[in-house]
Amino acid sequence: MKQMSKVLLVCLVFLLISVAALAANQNPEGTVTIVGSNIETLNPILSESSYETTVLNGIFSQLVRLTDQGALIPDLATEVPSLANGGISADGLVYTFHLNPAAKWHDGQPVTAEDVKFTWEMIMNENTAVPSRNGYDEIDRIETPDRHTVVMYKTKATADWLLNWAQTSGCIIPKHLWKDVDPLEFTKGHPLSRQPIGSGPFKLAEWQSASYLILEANQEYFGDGPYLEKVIYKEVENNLTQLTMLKTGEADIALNIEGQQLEQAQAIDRLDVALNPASIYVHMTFNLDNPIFQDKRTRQALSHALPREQIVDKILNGVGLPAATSTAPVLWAYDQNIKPYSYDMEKAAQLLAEAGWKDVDGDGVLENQDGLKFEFSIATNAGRQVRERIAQIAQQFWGQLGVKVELDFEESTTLYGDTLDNRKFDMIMFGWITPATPDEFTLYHSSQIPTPENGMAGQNYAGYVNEKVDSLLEAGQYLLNDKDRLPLYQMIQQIVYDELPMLYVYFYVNIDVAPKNLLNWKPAPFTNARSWNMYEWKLAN
Amino acid sequence: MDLTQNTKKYESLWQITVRQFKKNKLAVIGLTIFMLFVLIAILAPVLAPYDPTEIDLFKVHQAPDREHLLGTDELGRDVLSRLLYGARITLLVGVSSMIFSVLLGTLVGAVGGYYGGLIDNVLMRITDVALSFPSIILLIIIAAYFKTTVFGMIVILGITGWMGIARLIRGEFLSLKQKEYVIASQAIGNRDFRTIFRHILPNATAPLIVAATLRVGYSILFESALSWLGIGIKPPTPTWGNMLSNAQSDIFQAPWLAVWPGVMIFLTVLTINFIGDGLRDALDPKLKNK
Amino acid sequence: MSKYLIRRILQAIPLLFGISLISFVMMRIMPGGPLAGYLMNPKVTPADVARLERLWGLDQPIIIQYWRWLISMLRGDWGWSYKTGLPVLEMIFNRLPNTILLMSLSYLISIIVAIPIGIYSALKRYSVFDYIFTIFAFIGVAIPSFWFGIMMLLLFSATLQWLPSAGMMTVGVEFSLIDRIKHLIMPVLVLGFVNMASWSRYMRSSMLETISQDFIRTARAKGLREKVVILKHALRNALIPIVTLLGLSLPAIVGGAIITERVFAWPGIGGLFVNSVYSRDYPILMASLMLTATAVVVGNLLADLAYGYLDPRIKYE
Repeated sequence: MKQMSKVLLVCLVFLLISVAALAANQNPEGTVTIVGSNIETLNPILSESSYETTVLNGIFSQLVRLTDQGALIPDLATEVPSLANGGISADGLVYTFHLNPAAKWHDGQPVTAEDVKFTWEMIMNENTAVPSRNGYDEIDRIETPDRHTVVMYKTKATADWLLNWAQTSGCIIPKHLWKDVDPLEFTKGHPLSRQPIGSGPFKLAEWQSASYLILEANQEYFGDGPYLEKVIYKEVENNLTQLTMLKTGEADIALNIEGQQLEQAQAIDRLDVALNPASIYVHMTFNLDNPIFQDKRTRQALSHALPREQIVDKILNGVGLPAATSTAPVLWAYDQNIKPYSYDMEKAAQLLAEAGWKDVDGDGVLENQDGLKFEFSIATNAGRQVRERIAQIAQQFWGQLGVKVELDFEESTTLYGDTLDNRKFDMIMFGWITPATPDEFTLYHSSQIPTPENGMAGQNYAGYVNEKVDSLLEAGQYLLNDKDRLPLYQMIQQIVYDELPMLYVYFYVNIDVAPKNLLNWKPAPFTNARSWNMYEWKLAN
Repeated sequence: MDLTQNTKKYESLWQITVRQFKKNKLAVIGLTIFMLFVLIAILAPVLAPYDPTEIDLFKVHQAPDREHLLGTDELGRDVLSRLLYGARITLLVGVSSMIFSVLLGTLVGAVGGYYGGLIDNVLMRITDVALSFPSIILLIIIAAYFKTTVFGMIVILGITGWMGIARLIRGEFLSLKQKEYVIASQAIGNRDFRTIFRHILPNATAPLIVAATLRVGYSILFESALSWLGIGIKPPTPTWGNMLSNAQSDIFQAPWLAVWPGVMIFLTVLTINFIGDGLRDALDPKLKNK
Repeated sequence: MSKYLIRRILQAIPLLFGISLISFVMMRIMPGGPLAGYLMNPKVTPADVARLERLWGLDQPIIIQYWRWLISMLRGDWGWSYKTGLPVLEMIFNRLPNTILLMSLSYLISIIVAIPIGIYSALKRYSVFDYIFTIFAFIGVAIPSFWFGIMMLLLFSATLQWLPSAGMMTVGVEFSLIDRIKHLIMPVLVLGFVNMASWSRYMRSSMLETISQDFIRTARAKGLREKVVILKHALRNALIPIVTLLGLSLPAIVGGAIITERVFAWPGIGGLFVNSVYSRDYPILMASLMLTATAVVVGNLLADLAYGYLDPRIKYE
């Protein structure tokens, strides 16, 4: 009897849960409020900020979506094209996507292959202010044999190419609405960029510029979900204000919580705080044209004299990972055996002595054989306190070795637009966001040193030249199989670790704050987007 | 001869000022504290127990104790030492930029208000142009060209601060120049220079001093606000402003970091205002005979 | 009078031209430029940057760019923001009401409080009341506003949870006056406190100045009631410096309060203005500069007109 009632009880509970689940499926419930920096546009093709990505993930669909695990999953496409399923041709030049026939725009029109083709055409159009066409320019032509099939013909076979369609600019836009708009009017401010029609799990209900946006559940969504009735995004710049909003309940998810605020965020009962390694790293790039940095032992010495562990501990409140190279620990190609340079002042002094640095004139600053003094300046972003503090630490620690360091804190636009672009620095510190691919061609390849001759192309601001690295990078771009690519990229990591075109300081760790009862909250490390799976978000009762 | 003997019985202007000033207790307290701060600023190298830029990562965010009386900051530097050295930079910037503003503003306002007509018009249009750039914006723009040094900050704050004073002085002059004693001075053939500086300006000193004292406070506050926006005087050079704005991100872990620079800014601006207030009363020509 | 007005307005035109030219040149020679942000994106190629420069007309000589800007500005076309692609005027007028609401409210409250305090302090000089308000006023002048704002935020929002910390309204709830007031309290107070403090000082010293003047003594000697002397004769004169200050405040009312807006996430002009400098969003920056320049001209004109009203001895030639 007792057992019987237990079984009954269990059955009842199951029944209730499934009814509840079913109900949730039909009637999205609850509101989640996100707070982050300002949103400038909701035109995914013109968007440049990860905050916009957070919102756009709800409104738009892509062909394929990038998960928090770095894997691609189907979105508008019914399956992810691969060599195995024939979606990618054996020569790697033809990609075929089959679209989900149930997909509809928010205005009720079906999503078709024409929309995909149109999206690509707009990205490539000369007259639109698209920031980048990188990757899309490898497409020769797109054919649409039927309403739901897209075939892309590429000019060359490149690895990780599908990732382009999983980034924000890969959001598919509606042709039937945009087709009559002059490409010159295809701007961030066009009404269709302000009140976008997408095919994602949420519709934009209201946008008060510089204040807030309201997304409402799209009941006609073709995929799983949505389970939330509303997602609100509030535009707030100051991160202390963001934290306060978490406390008062004005926000549930904050995008800019910093290491120093960790304990405060953790003290809020209703919130769950997770630390997730991200793929952004802070580095100090040498200007290798400067004769004082020529010898790699000099660079290694500075690396040994940078107390990374302490920087992470004291400056970042433990929220960060000392960096060994530019390859993110969350990336599949990361070489576990490479450890960050140890903090070792004796080794540093020894390396400097080996490289010929000696204080000849007794002024406390080292000189080398050519009589050059070891003095230089570190440029970094003014107002970024963490970077300002790291620069001051470097100044003091390297000073102990007899290296004289000046600090040069510049407003970001000046720093990037002038000092970096024209390579007017001795050493420059800032952050790089790395994509979900190990390919760092633009960073390390010798053809990517910005010069007037190559039209200032590339991000090899260090001026790094290594033939081995060049050939490995070239080879890696054309290998389609990750297994074949792995040894190449691990070898690159070993070389740059040894040669140090830049000092790798630390990798970001995101502080992801969300309500405890928010299910399926899976913030992703790569795109810096916490909302890639907004369609699955669900509030437990 | 009669006259000289007679004047000896009277107090000099300076003595009257001092006597009047002493009546204002707040002003006396203010002056005492302010002089103390100036002394601290001068003696900083002697008083400071540590090197203000000495980083010690093993002592980050230490609460005040016997070793570090005011605790340590985010890089393990001694807060007391930074505060003492910060007094130098902060006071230097505040007072120098005020002097800059007052000299420029008074000159422009006095000349414009006195002569009127075309000169006034031209000077006021220049003032208008300068005023039409909001100072924070102007400063961000200027900061984009130059690295913000102490000297740069003085010049920038000085340049962005004279217009209000110029307009105030001009307003006073417009009203004062119609007064009988000014007309009399002009009538007996005094040179314009003398009329402006001997007869009108002393009567306009009261509002000028109030404005000038507020200006010092404003400069000190402005420097801290610019630090908060990320474009103030840069660390490791300590200023109370950059110490205070730096404290914001550590407010929960090390609240004491925010206390002292805040208190110092507050006290300094407060005492400067008390002094200005006392001076205003003391210098007021109408009170002389009372 | 109207002749004077017309002359002043005519004078303002070359002034605004001058300001626009100076602003344009100053802005354009700032290092960086609107495309600086793209350099951080490894996917943006130099060809992309060149294409965008051509698209936005940034490849032309500065003087031609200025000419183009001037011509279209006079036609009422203020251009588009590089950052948002929206028409500049739309962006400005989207935020202007928010700024005016915040600023005018805080100024209004400051005046309402400051003038009586100033008068009373002056009349009862060195009384307990005077001392209390002197100290109170000086506290207001002496607190760094960002710090005051943050302390309010931590106290009333984070700790006590009495007031919302950000924005203009509770999102998703129908507009209510109570809700708006709750959001206004802290920013208005932070802004108002400083002005309140300094204006009450100006009022006090100006009043002291006036009541020691001959015509007040004369009025008293005539046997007029003290109230009449103060309110009819003294106040009028004592208000002159305050009027100057008010005239000078007009640009601030339309220009917004950069710091307070930032702390309380108030969607006003100030934030737009600062961000346009940082991102070198030239069209927005130019429009904001012209807006404040116009406010300066108008504010000064109003102040001068008010002088004439308050002090009939000032003549307009």
